Amino acid sequence: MRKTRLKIFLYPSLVIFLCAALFPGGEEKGEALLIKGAKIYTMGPKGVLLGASLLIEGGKIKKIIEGLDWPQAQVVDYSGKCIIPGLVDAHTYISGYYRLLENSQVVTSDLVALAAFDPLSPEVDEALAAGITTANLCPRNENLVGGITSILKLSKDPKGVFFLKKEGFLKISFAKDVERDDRAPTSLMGAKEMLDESLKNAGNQGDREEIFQEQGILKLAKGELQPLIAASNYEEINTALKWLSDWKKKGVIVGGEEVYRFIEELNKKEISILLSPFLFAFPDRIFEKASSLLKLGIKIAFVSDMPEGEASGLRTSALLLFHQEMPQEEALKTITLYPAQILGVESVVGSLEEGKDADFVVFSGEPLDLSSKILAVYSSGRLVSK
Amino acid sequence: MVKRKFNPAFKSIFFLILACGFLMAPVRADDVIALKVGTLLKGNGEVLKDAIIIIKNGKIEFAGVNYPVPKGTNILEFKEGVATPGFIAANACLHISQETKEVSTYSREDFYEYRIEKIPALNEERSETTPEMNLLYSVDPRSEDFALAWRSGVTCVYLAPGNLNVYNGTGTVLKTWGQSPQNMTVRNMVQIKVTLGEEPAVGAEGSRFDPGLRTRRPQNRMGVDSIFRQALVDLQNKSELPDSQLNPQELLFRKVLQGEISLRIRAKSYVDIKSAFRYMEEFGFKWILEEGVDAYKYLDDLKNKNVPVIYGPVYRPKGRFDFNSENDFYRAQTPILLAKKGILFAFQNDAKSPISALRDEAIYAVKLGLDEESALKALTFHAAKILGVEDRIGTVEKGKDGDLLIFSGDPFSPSSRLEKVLINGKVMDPNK
Amino acid sequence: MKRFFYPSHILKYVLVLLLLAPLPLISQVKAIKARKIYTGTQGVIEKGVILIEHGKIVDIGEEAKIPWNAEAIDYSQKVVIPGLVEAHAMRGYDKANEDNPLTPFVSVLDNYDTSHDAITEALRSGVTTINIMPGNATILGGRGAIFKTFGLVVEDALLVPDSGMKISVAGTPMQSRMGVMAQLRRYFNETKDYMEKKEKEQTAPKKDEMVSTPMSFRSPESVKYEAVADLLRGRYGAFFNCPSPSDVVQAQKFSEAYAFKAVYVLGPECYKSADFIAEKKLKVILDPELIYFEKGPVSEELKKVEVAKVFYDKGIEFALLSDPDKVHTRSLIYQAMKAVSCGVPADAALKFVTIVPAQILEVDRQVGSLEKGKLANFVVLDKEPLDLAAKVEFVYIEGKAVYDREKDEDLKELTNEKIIQ
Repeated sequence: MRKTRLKIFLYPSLVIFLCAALFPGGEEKGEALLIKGAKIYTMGPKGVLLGASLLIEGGKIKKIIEGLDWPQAQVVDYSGKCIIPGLVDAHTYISGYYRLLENSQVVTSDLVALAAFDPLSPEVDEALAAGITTANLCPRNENLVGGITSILKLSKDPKGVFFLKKEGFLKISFAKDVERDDRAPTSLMGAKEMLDESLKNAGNQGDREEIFQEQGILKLAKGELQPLIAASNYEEINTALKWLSDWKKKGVIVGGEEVYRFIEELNKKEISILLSPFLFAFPDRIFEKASSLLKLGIKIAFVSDMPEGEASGLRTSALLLFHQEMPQEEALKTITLYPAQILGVESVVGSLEEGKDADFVVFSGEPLDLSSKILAVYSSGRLVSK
Repeated sequence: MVKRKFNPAFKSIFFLILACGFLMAPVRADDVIALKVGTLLKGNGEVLKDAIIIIKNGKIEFAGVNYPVPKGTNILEFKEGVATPGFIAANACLHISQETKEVSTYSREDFYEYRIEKIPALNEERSETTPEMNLLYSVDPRSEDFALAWRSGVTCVYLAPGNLNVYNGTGTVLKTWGQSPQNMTVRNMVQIKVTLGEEPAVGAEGSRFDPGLRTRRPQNRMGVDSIFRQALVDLQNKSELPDSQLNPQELLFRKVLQGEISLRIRAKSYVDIKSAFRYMEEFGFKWILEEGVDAYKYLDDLKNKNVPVIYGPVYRPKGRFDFNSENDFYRAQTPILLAKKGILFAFQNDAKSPISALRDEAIYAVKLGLDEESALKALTFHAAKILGVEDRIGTVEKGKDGDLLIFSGDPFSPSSRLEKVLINGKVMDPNK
Repeated sequence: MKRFFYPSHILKYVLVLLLLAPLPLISQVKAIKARKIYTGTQGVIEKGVILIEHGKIVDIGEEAKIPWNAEAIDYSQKVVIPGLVEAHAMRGYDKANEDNPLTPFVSVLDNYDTSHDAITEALRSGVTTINIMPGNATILGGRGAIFKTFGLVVEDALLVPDSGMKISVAGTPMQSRMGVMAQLRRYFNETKDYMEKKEKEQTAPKKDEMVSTPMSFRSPESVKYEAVADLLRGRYGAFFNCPSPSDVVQAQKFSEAYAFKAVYVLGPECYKSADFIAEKKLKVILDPELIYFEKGPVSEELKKVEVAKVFYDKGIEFALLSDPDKVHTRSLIYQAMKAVSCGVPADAALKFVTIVPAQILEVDRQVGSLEKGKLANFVVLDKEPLDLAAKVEFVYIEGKAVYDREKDEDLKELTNEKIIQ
């Protein structure tokens, strides 16, 4: 009698199991996508591939195929089009502009930007439509130490994990917005002094609440967080460089309008620069000098400063850089691979290599040709924008 | 292996070319220029006619008459020209960065004149005692005022944070031309700037929209007095503690009490100057009087206690809107009295009188009767002494920096034109 | 027999003779002897003499005949130059402008303060004629007047009432240049309508009748329009405030369109319109800032422009101004010396502070140079005029010594050596 019951139970389940194995399931996990393309700018060691395809599985790039065939994969045909990695925006206030400023104090180092992010906000759609798939959400420039930045993945997947790093950098600002009439600091030198004092006194005094609020500073002091300093004009950048060398820290400077005046000092230092040229008074200058900075090996990336700047600014910046006789790949790297390296997430995004996230942008023609349009944007293997 | 012998002709040609190469190859060239001028005013009182100045790698190698100029040196001749050391503004109110702020100002001719007025962002108002503030890294060499300064003959300035605190910060001595502030610096952390009088009370105002709201001291002279003394008394109480246990502010004050750093006290009215002398007796520091509008009332004290004076502006037209009306008793003769008494003094400019008018201020003083030698010393040698940088600038002598001005005639005549300006040996044309 | 020679008669004759004797000596003629006289238009006279009668120069030269009963004043060690003329001054009163932008009916005659520091300062530095004008903050500012720099009562100090109407074509914070020009045109058109209406009603004033003095306004309409009507009738000209180069062109077109005389008070940047000024032969007055620094917008390099030289090289004659608020523009002589440092020859520089401003103000038949028939306004210096050490010793206006350095108490206060400690 038992054996019969077993058989009744066993045989149908076997059949069902076999069916499941032979007929791969729905649109969810397990399906391999083959993205056929005419030209793929991998930004990785494989360089530019003509007539290649990406095999995507589980949101990651399983394989890059130099050819246009792969068995058992759902084909998405972009032959004749160009594919580049998803853009990485290393400094943005996307979806949380009014929530990224805690006005009550000047030094708010414990606040984490992730809390201000709204993944379903229309700004995210805008960014995705412009090809941005990774964003470093930063507190604003009005506080001396605004808080801790978060590196996010922009996608439409409500269940998906949408941050790559909860804590990215400590955002420090020497920008003009910090200097105010009605509270300290009122000048740039005061801002620097205040920052020095905070670092020196970190962890030494205050009650429990204050120690908690100093968390970001403590992490900076211990080296767990790198500083991301907002500095635009000459004296702000000069102060930032001095501060970095005083405290012997590596860091990133964002803003950098007059950074071209520091070419000699930046050489051989481990300082990266993030530029948002369209918020400058004279955008043309930076493109002329950016090429010389890149040739010296200084890491540069273009950012959008959304919503203060436009999401399309990234592509336009790369285009204008390309026009300064920079090779196309270099120009594209400033919005893909280099920001990923600066943010420390190059193992996951920034280039199209095996094992990395399947984030890419499909163009109707050459990516740095203004007449090309963005046809599709994929984030972690899912089509997020058309 | 066949031994190949070079054709001896080829050998000699080869060596000839090599030799030519050596002869023509530029020897590691020193950057040398020679200036021949009709008159050289050295700055320390010496006047030389038909003088030659040799500048090598930015420093003065020779300044005198009769020098065999080596062949091939770049010679610049100014037969009628008068050379002087570069002028030094012992205190300059300059716009150090390129930020501008739109401000509406009142002026006599136009009732409401809307101008883009540049506000120097030099005040750190969070505390009335901020001696450690230093503005070297807030300087942008491309700021217009630096170009304006050297084009008017001012090659070196002293800059310090503003006047709204009691202890404002320490100053920097900078050349007015250079690639970066670090590169332009002659000396940093020079003299702590102190303001006595009613000016620090302005900094205490809590909000520009509600001036009556006072959030910190001082509100009047008693407060200023208390703050000034407190910092030094506190330090006197800690005199047993070693340096490592003091914070940076206290370390600075200790250096003041030991005489290593001087205080530069900005005191306009006679009450404030008297207070400064009182503090000097109490604490025994070295100080320099800045702005001393009423300095003419203390000539003996200034001379006996060796207090230099930084004076300016010399020209104060009546009805000029100053901070308050406390200094209505100014005397234009002050520089002349100071010179007669043998007190070291130098010129400065303030917010209302531009840096480009420093030479005109000296000309006005000369017109009132100051002798030209003292006026030139005040602009050069004495100013360098007051700032403590006389080893590098202030006179045209061997070993000093190549900072020179060439005028078409008497430097103290407005009809003379500034022809060339040299900073660190670099020849620049101020008239382009 | 008639006793004509009695002692008592003789006494009478002697008394009468004595009484009448000084009569020939009460001569009206003054003779000024000087080591050097800069006439301004006729060159320099060495060891010259100026003869003055009733405030006017009757003769000037090396061998001017000195009547025996002339009052001789010996300045044989000194240098004499013509009294300086300040062509446009916005000082000497309480407030430069009214708050209302269109006030052509006001006149500085009403608020001029003869005892103002600015006027004593002007006199002290050798200025004998000064044109006081309303300020720059209104579109139609009002009328100015030309004064002598001495005299307590306004009427005594007045040389020419209504020297011109002040017009500003520059924008204000409230209005751009478009608005300013529109308002000007509307006002002028309304004035023309008013003038036509008056013609028709045959109430138009006669040619020489000074209608627009403040006392003579009859109706609100006349208040509004008479001042501008006088301008259109040619009774006086306009002084245009032109801070930027295009303002000059705009103002010139406007003055051509409405057919009135104009003088252009330039800002330092107006060197850029020097060619236009030379071509149209405009009367110009330069800004006190003779050395103008301009920052290139892209290169950020500072460029130095010696404005006086630019105008001089194009053959333009201009008036120099002083600004006593600043040390580097503090007096007209100083400005002339600054012009020399820019490359303008010394004699030209002196002209630009004496005869040329007088010509621009149309008072050159009375002042501006030392010639027969002109007013005896001159300055006595102890050295050459363009020497920094030269001191103004005396200033004469219409033959009277109105300034004496020895008696200048204010100057002594300022430069007093014996200060009480």
